Amino acid sequence: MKVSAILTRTNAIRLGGLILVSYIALLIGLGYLGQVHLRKSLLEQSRLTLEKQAALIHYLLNEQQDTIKELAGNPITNSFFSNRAMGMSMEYGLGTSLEMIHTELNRVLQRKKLFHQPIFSTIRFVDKDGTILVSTKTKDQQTINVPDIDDPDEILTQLFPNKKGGYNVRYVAGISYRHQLNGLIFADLNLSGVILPLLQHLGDKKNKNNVMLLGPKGRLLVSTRPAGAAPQASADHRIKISIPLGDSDYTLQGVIQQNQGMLLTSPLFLSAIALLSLPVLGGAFFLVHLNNNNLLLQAKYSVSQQQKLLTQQANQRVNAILSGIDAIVYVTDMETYRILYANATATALYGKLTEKICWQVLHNNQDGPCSFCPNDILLDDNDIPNPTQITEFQHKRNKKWFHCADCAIPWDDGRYVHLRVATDITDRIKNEQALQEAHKQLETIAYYDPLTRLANRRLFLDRLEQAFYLADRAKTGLAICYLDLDNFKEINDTYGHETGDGLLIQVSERLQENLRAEDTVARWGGDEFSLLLTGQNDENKCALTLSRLIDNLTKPYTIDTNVLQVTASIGVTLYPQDEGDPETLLRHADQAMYFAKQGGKKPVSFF
Amino acid sequence: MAHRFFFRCITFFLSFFLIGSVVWSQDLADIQRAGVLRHLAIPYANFYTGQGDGLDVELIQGFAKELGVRYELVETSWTTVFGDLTGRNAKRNGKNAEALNAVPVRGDLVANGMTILDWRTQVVDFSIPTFPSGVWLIARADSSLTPITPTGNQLQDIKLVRAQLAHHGVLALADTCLDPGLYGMDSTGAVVKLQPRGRKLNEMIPAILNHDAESTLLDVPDALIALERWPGLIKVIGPISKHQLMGVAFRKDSPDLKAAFNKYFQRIKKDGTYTEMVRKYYPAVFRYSADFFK
Repeated sequence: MKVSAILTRTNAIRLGGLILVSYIALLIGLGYLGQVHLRKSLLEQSRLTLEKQAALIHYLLNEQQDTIKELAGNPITNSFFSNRAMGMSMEYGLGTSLEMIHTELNRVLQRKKLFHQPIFSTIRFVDKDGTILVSTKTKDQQTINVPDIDDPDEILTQLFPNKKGGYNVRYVAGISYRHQLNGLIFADLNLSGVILPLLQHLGDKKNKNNVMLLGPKGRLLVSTRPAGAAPQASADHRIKISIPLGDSDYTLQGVIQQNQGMLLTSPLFLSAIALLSLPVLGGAFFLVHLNNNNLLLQAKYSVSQQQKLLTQQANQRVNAILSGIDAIVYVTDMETYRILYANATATALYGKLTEKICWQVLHNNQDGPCSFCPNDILLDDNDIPNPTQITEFQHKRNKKWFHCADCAIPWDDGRYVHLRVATDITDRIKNEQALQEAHKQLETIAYYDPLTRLANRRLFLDRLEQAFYLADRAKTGLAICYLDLDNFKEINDTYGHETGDGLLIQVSERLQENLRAEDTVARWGGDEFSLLLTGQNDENKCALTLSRLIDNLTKPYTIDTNVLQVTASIGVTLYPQDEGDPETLLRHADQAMYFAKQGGKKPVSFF
Repeated sequence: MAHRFFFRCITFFLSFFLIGSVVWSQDLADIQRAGVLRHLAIPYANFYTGQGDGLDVELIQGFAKELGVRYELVETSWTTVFGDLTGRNAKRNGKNAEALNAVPVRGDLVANGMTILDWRTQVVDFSIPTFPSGVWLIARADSSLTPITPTGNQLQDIKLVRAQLAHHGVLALADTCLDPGLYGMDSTGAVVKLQPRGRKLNEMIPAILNHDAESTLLDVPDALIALERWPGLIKVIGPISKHQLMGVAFRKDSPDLKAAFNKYFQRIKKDGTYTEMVRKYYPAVFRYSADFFK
């Protein structure tokens, strides 16, 4: 079984949690054991420190006793008494001896120092009756109580009350000559100046523990705790350790305050647990993160495969669609004109096209791109595709018409390529052309006289109505004329309808030839014609124009082998001289034409 | 008698200055130009221990530093000290000085606890006093001489001491401050034993401890040291002389040098420097003559 199968996400979290719990339990257990051992160790350390302090203080006190003993045995001190015994006076020699002793006392005071403090606070040279002969204290008392000294060679230790309510230590050494006591040396220890800093220096610097020096009968000599200060811990958490100073009556007593805080509630321990748990939490997080990443990758792979399948299917569908539509679809590179894709229709028509140059294979006899190639307009100045370009053109090679839709589309590699969809619209073009032809024929039938190709009545009335309104707006005039051939019926009866029709066609041609293009000539029916002359304000000019027309109409016509000649009558009405609507105007022109035909003398008659 | 004394003094001064000035003439400006101050010293008590240190060595070293010149110690003896300073040896002749042979000058000043005595002032000039002194009678502890009980009057105390001296042996040293002639020892009836010339003052106590004599004259500074060095073996009987003073000796033709020293000494005495020097070498002297150091 693979590890990955076992190490699922859930199992990994469970495993990480189990490791974390075990780890923390182990840390707590080890921490507790460590604390127990630490307490024992601290206690032992305190005991050792106290023993060290006791040994040092014992040595210090002994050394000072030796110092005092040495001072008492100094020949200078004894010589004072011997000099005095010899009768020497203070003025001559004895005073000098006393000064030398004073110097020696000060020398001892200055030489014996600890922590830059003199070990002795005061040293006195005392006569055996208690008179203080010399003192290192500037303003000292004159006498001092002399204790009973059984053995002058022994150092006597005295405790005397000090100003702070405690006791101080005083060494008393006898100065004797042949076991006869002559004087004494009194030396007071500077306990607060030397012993206290020694205890503080060697003890707990945070002063959590109290160290005391007790003299004989347990009298407090010096304590690291200030007088009156309350202990920091309750009695249950204090441990007293007493160390005797050698074989003396002095005891060094330490009151050790144990840590009252519980291990599990100790902020330091909790911080340590939290800190030490970080690696495990980090590992668990990493495991979960790894698992999530794996799942994510699997999901991405699955989606990718699905997308690939969908893409393949889509491509197949697109290919099927593109191959199924009746249009040429191909894609070319816009720079090289190389064909990148061609659908089945294009391939069927031109053979294999991909990788070939479009203008070389799609068109013959070209030495460059097609003149109508839209590549340059498929993208705007910012290289954004323009809307699809629609064009229709006739292929030079096969003469077929194509409807082309050209646009720029993004290709696989991100570049824009030219997509062309060309639909064969040859049949549609042909149908459109046939339709246009039919429409033209229908228009001819509707608005033109089939024989003479002149406008028929409908077209004439339409144009008349337009001209009528244009004349009103342009403030110009119109001439509406009715023209009737005078003897057409005889010619038609004589030479037959075909000749008559031939005559009508030539008359129509002469009418159009002799009038302006903007004028309208219509065949009203039979041999009746209507004329619409625009810009005719002057009757005389109009009459002149129509007279020239009449003259041309009366010239001989050759129809087949027959030479024929006809006359015509024209009735005219002028607008706006003649008021009325178009129909009225036509009626008035008809009435004038009738008058002309009836009058017989003037072929042109105005209404 | 007075005319003779006057004539002798004139003769001494003329001979001393005429000869000495030819041999040597050097004052402050010459010393500063030479860049060295030569200190003549005789091993004596703690003024000059003979080991290159002492109260007067420190004193003159400070003076040389004050002058900005190099210090040089020149050891001499009581018999040649004046010749080494002035170019002509001299000795006491009664109450006057007697010029002796001419010798090369070896130093510029003498400082080793030289007591200012009248006859010496004929030979040299002394600075302002630098140390208190006097002469005591010191006896072995087992001597029958007994220390006097001070009367409060120094002259009376001297009489009490002198009264005991008949038939007692007393050591003395000629041409020094312990010269018996200075103190009229002849009239006391004491058996004066002059020590050989060249003996040092600090050898007087060992001599009495060696039973050369019962007692000895000793100047106060030496007595202070002796009491410290041989406690219980000697005792001070009392004063032989009135209070004396010590000073630094200069050639009489070195007034500028003497003036410079006096100025220097007054300064260090005032600022306490000198007191500390004395406390180092003679701690007991303050009880003997506390007023001098105020």
